[in-house]
Amino acid sequence: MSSTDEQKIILVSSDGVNIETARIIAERSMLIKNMIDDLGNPGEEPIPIMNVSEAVLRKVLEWCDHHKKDAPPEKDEDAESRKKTTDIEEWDQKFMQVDQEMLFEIILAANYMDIKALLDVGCKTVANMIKGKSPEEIRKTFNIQNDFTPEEEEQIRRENEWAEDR
Amino acid sequence: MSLSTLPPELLTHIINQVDAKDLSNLRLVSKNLQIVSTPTFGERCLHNLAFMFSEYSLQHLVQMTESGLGRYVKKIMFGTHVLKIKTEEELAWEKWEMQEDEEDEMTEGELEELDREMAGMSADEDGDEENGGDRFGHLEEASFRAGHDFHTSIAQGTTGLDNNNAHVRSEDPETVISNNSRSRQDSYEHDTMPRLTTTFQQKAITMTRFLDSGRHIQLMTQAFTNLKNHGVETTLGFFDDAVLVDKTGKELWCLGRKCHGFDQFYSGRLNNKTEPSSSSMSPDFRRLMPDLVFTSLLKATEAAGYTVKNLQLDLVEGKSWPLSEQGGVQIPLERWLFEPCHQKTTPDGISILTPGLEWKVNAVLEESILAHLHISTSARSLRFSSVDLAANAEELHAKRQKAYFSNLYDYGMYAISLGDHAFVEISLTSCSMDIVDMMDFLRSQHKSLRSLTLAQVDLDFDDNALEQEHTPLAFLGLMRNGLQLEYLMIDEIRSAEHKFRFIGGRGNIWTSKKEIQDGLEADMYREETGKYSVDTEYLKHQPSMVGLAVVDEVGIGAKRLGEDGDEDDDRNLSASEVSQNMIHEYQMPP
Repeated sequence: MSSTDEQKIILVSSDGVNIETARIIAERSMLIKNMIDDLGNPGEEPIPIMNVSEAVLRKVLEWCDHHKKDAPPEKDEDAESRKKTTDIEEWDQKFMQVDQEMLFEIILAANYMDIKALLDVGCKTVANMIKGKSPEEIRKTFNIQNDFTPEEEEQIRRENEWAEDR
Repeated sequence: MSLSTLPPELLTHIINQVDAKDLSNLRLVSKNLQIVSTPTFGERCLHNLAFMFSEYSLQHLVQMTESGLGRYVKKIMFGTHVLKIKTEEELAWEKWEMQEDEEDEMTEGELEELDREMAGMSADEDGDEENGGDRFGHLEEASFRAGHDFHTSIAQGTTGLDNNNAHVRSEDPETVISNNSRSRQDSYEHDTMPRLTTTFQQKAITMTRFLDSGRHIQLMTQAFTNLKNHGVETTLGFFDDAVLVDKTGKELWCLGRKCHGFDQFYSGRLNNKTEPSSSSMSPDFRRLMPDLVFTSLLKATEAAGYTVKNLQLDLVEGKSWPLSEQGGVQIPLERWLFEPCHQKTTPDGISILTPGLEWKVNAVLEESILAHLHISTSARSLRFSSVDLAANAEELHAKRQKAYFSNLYDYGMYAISLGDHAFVEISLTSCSMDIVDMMDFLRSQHKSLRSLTLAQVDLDFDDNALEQEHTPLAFLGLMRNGLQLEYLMIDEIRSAEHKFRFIGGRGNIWTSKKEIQDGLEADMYREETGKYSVDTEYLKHQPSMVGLAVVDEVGIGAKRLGEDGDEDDDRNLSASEVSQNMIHEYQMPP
């Protein structure tokens, strides 16, 4: 087993940079794991990661390295993960302290590379940025234009009231 | 890359992680976010809604069901808390009850006086309204007088309504009050007035007129029509939006939640609390009227042609005024609860229930017991259980309070009203029952019943009764020979009087006719020979009993019996001996 763990493989980023990493790290990504399984002979051929740039891929692999010993992902944790919105472990919180551009790139990459735990951490980080903020504050945080007419805004406000216990 | 350029499926993933209360704000950020977040908003914030009987609240219900968001609704509950001015009949009833209560302490002279008052009041009911002002003089109780006074103002308003519809409908409640004050000037009522704030006068009048006009039913009908048009099936029901206070002063919010429109109606002045049962006399007219809410619900669903598939009732027992809009006679909810079931009976006496109905009743009983009743007509099942809300977590199950499930006056009536042989599956957990009722009920279901669960059931029976028909032995015999069970679970059926005495075993699950026959045969043998199981754990925790020492002593004694080479060294023997001794000890006053 240990020979498999230490086995090196080569990933190629979308901007054509070869990155060498351990197979055990790369296999946090279900995409890569499936590709290795399909290709056989791991390590011989570089694996292209079409949609992820070098900077993002290195960041993602940094996360995979830290989490390489985590238990393999459970089948369906949706119901439970929803409850613990703010529950992000400390290392992940620090890891996610990046600019928004990078944060969304990591989310995209995690989705593409099929790393569920990383996708969850990314989405939770964004959800925490929304938490407790007014619509205007959310717009400011994410640089979003208000494209509602006052009438539309009023209509949504009214609809929102229906859900309120008061 | 930014939040707005993220693909929708990833945006949804993020939105799923957002707290429910932040979803409203997210919908107001931009069109894109509104579109993506609305399904999550609907599923999480609109699936379970509560409304009350105010114009504001029910208008919102209509608007909501009209809009596209209506399709996310899964459950609509109505609060039974209303601010309704009492009718003549209710006041007369209240007076009568008061009289009943005080009768013992009254002198003959006082009684005569009361009689005169009652006579005077019924005369007034037949008399003309113009003389209304005169009647206040002979009413003794302050808040009673006040309630009566308000009633008059409403009665005048209603009379006006009939004559001059549009005009009075738009009349400001304050006008009614000021008219009322004028008409009262020469009466000596003003001393009670400080107890009633103007705000409450207005609100009580507003809501009473709203209810009297039937507007609430119109609005509900519209809402149910909207849901029907959208093909939305919902659970409907009502709940007593009250809070219970237990003996230690702790508030129990098990059924409590706030209706939409509550703060708007009460201007945030009330903290969503109702007074204890004495509130029928309290001057602010707040009360819980489940019967009014339920009739409205039935009328509106019928008018809209909207089928009730699931009904859920969350009640606080003993908190509602006994009069209803059916004409002043108390009609138990239970009597008409199952009417929509349209059950039919086959020639061999088996009740056929319209399938697809789910009835759930949650009720907080007066001793802080939460009772759950769930009847499914499609599964033909009945489940009943209760929870003692006031008990500590460490409290022994045997010592907890249990809800009574027995006959026509208790929760058993829900079951009985569905007719003979209606259930295939019955599960009674943590409740108490009279052995006669239990056996009658099981017998009435013998043709259909296949699966029976009895856990933590306290059976009431007379230990020393001479008749052999309703003994624990006869009860076990009925389950073995009188029913056609294919599944039986028996766990801790106890004597209600001597909780340590079990009937049958603990934690027995039998899943075939053979197992049931054999298992019950063994239990019956133990009953017959007096070697029933005993809860020694319970005896240890019973401070009123002699306690540990006795158990140990008898334990040793029983062991000795075994050593002495007694022919029957069954372990139950010691238990039986313990119980015989304990009963003896228990009955002896210290």
